[in-house]
Amino acid sequence: MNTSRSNEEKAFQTCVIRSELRETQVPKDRILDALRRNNFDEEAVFAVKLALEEALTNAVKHGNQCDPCKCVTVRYAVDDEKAVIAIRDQGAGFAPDTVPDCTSPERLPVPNGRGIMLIRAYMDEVCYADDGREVIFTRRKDSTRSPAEEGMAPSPVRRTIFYSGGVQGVGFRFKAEQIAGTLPVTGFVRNLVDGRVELVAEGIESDLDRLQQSVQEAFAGNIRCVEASASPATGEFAGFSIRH
Amino acid sequence: MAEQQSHLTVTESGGVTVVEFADRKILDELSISEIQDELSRLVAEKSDVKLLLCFKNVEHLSSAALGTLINLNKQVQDKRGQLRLSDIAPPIYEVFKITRLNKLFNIHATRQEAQESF
Repeated sequence: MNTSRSNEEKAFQTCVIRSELRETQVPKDRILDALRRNNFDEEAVFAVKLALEEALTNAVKHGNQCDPCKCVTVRYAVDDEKAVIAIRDQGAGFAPDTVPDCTSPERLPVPNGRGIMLIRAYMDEVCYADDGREVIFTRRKDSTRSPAEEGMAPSPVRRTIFYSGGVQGVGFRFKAEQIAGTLPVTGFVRNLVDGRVELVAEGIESDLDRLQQSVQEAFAGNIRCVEASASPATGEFAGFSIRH
Repeated sequence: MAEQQSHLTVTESGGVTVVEFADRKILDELSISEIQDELSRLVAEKSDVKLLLCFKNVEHLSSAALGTLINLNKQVQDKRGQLRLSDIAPPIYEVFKITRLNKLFNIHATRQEAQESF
């Protein structure tokens, strides 16, 4: 398997647009072209197109409130395996978990509020960062996702991990940051005065598992004990960084 | 600005107003709001309207388009009319299923079936 290598090689393209709905066509066209070049099937193209439409509309209208002084930054990486897309606005942010369930009987006749659930239904992974200003979603090429039957994509969670042993002064935090950079996760890593290292990450379970496993493999000789706990994601982080 | 073209083809058939979409994608907000205006005008013109939206040509739609359909449904009901949808391609029908709007709308496989259901 060369998954980790291809992840590290994955280069994100960036496209910055003004807060106007017609501007959203530029990143949409570029990303869909990239999908077709990488032979994604029509089902995947449909799914990504829908997610892009919803996320870009949200960023322009709800995030930036169509403010001409604000822009929307779209980053994307498409390869033979998957498409990862991150869309960031400069608005006030929001808490994705507080958006009401649009399929409940009392919300069903309400005309708006379906974008977020459609993104979750059609993408393999969805997470939010920077207090909801950034949405990051992934569609795998070999996804067998059937949105109507499988329902929503897994929601992000927070995992707090304490490593003890000879974990400080060995490049632990730099390596952890590097590994986290290859995954759609956000959070931080820092040294504690008691000699332990604390790693806090938000993302979906499978990516957090990969992060934890890779860190563990990299420092198998240094780690004596690992304590991990889960809590709800807050979406408060803009990326993954080292804290001092 | 170019001259605005209608997004809809409207025909009358046996007391039913049949609407087909000219656009294959009902996605962007601008055309959606124009579609909403055109449909509202149709509904406002007469009470007890029997309105059938045929999605034969539509390959894509967004949540904003779903919002327009919900508003239209309300308008039609307020005027004691009836709304039916037909010929929704499987990928689009999936969007209705995910959002459970297949429960809110009266959806038929074919235009003929929908017309007979009024």
